[in-house]
Amino acid sequence: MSGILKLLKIGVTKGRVTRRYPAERTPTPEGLRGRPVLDFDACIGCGGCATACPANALTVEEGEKTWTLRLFYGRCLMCGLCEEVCPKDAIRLSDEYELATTNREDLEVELQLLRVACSGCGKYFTTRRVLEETAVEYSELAGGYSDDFRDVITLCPDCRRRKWGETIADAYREARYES
Amino acid sequence: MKNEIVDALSERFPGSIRGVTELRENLTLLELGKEDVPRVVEYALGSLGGTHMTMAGTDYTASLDQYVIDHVLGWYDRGLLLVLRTRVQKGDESFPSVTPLAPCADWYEREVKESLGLTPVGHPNPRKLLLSDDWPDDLFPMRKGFKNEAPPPLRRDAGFTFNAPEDAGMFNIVPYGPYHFAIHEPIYFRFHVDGERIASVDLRAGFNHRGLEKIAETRMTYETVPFIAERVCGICGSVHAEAYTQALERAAGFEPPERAKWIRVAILEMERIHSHLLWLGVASHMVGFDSGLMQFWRVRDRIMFLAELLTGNRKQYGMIVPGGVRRDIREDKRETALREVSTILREYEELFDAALRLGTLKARLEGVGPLSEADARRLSVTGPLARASGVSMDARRDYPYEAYGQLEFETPVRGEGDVLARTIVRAYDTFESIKLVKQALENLPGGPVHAPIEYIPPDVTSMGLVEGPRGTDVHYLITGGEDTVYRWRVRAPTYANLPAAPLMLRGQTLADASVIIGSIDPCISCAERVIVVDEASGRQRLVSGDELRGWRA
Amino acid sequence: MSPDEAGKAKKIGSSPWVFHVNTGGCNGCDIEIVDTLTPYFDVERFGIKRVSSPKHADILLVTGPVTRQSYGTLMNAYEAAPDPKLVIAIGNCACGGGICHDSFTALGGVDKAIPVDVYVPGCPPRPEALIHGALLALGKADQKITRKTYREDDNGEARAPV
Repeated sequence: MSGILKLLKIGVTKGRVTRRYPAERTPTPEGLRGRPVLDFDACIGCGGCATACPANALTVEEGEKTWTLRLFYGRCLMCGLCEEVCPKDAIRLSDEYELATTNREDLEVELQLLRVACSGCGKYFTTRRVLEETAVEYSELAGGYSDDFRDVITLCPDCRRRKWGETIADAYREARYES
Repeated sequence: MKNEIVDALSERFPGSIRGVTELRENLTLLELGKEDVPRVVEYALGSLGGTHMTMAGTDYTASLDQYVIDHVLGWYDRGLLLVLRTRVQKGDESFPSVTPLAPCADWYEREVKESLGLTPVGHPNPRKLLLSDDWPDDLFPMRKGFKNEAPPPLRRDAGFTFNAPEDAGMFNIVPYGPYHFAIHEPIYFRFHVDGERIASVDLRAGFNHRGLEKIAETRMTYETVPFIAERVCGICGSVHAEAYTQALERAAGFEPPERAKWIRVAILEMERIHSHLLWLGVASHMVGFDSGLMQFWRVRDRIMFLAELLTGNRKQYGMIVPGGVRRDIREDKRETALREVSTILREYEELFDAALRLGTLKARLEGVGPLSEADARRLSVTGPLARASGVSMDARRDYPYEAYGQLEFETPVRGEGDVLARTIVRAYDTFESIKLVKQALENLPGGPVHAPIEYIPPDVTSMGLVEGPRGTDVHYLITGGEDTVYRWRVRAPTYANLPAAPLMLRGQTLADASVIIGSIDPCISCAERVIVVDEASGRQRLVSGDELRGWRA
Repeated sequence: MSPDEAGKAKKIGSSPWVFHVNTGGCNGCDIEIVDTLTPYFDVERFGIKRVSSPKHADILLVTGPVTRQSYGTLMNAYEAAPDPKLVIAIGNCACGGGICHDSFTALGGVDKAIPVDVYVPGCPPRPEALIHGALLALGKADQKITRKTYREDDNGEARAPV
């Protein structure tokens, strides 16, 4: 059979393969990497996703009293590194891929969390949710929400270091007088 | 056997070789003075039969007050790599050019000149290569001190000096660029034509130079570089991710888990299939066979759907990372994949059989755009372009990596050196790829797919070689401290193949120009729209691609 | 869609002719654009035809982050295309610069050079997403995502007594 006839045969036997998009929803395979979706309640504001993002689609702006996470779909590679890194499952890749918009602002998601001030020096040092999360995780080790525990955990890293230094110095002095 | 090449060089150039270091098995580093490099490279490529792999310049002025230039040469038949290292002192930023003795170093030296400011003395043609025409001549982006703070002013019409033959006045000039009907990046060719015959060709690349190497050195970490490596090319992205990962893992002395190696093979071969089917479709379109475009891409879409099922995206799979792969292949998906691959094989066989019986297709491709074996070796071209001209080279077989050492496959080689030979080489490559994907998926070993790399030592020079659809992709890597690369040099196979275009086009007809340029399977676009200038009358006429394809010699 | 854009879409109507400009991307998006012509997606059933000259174009499909070298050719194509015209930025590099947004040799997005009517993000966007973008530009499909902001409430419930 000549080439042309063979081609015709292929064309005729294959028939129509066109996917009837958008009249019909085309199949999306399981595990399709679509746009990431933020769970606003679960995010604690650790910033791990922004550090992991290779394209700077996730950026963090640390103001004095607020912590803002911005996700710009125009740069998102849908690679899933943010999903891998997030400790609270607050960002997950969905299977949505129809992301066309007529203006750039619609491609942005903004999440703003509040920061807390240090109980020692008054400087704002972390988000409220990170603090609460740390408290929950370490309260068991500390034997509950005692006043001492609360005093320490609401200190910023500098004040905490200073307090720890004072504790060591006190212990050292005591040990010296004892011996 | 290992040091046969080094011994031959020491014998021929006594006193020139200042130091020999074994970086790794089959990777040796030789220290040379910059005056000796041209003759050593010429001898190694010519008499000793080596292939030029890549050349990279690195800025070490902060720590050592010098620049380091490395030429990397390879011997496919022995599985050897040789790094010829030379140093250029700060304050004396020039070095004797290798190009007059070894023309394959042409583009690399132009790049080193424009990006680092090191002048190749004696280079016949030191014009800009990748940087834009409006980029100032005294600003060197690859120097470590360069910060992208104030971009130089943008100009729309900064000119580029095209080279013209001596008797240029006799010819019409046909600018051929920079937009193409389908795919690829823009590139600007300029033909000097005599009637319909092409007398000489010059080209201007650099339309999609995005400075990715600089971004990798400054903003990225070891973990995120594979994502930018993938986006060096949208057709053969995984090849770049694999080459970088290979270089990094070798620098760390790390072996990925077995299952990860086999999955990597499956991914790379799937990419080869999609790339070759893409090319077969585009080549068909270029010779006017549009049914071929539609049918080959119909079969190709099946691979894309399969990739989407296994990796989550049709392209830019994001699978190959240092340590292994990111996703495992679940049992049910593996079975679906095997069924799909069988279907693809059947459909491709059918199509291949039909297409090759077409007399008109053969007539359009036979004898067109020849490249002799001698020229192919002299220019160190790679991949199907080299194999169609009788040079047998395949990094999967000669520098085995991942699981290729345990797999059965053949590397087709033809001797005619014309576009038809390249088509046949790629067509048979696709059959071999399908065979490889089947083998890889059928025999996947168990175990984990990722393991952490404990420690990556700094200041290690390492190489990653991967056989991509277009040829051998060579990544040169120097590890840095603090989780970032110090120097990462990507040499895509097209970089070595494109300089052969002017040779292949000379004496050919204008109508065949697209298919000849396309037969390199460039990762850059050839233009379709052409302006024909009649020098006598000065009138311009816009010729569409369809008209161009309709012209016969 | 703004009234201005709606007016343009109405004038262009159906069956637009498109011209594809690659300003230096990796080609992933460009291949997906060509893929929409192939049998599985067949964008020609909407009357969309690719032309080889910007002078014949109603819609410009632009990919790539606009490298310095391709800036001139992009502007030439944009100015050659007659009004009314629509510009669709396809892929991440065109929408916001993508992974190379801070490159020293790219502008970082098509809207840094010419006004953009529709953004189609993705790396690369699926052919269905491209069709959705084209239909959105013509006013025949709806946008599916909008800007979302969330502000933590000062009086919200604390999760731990600190």
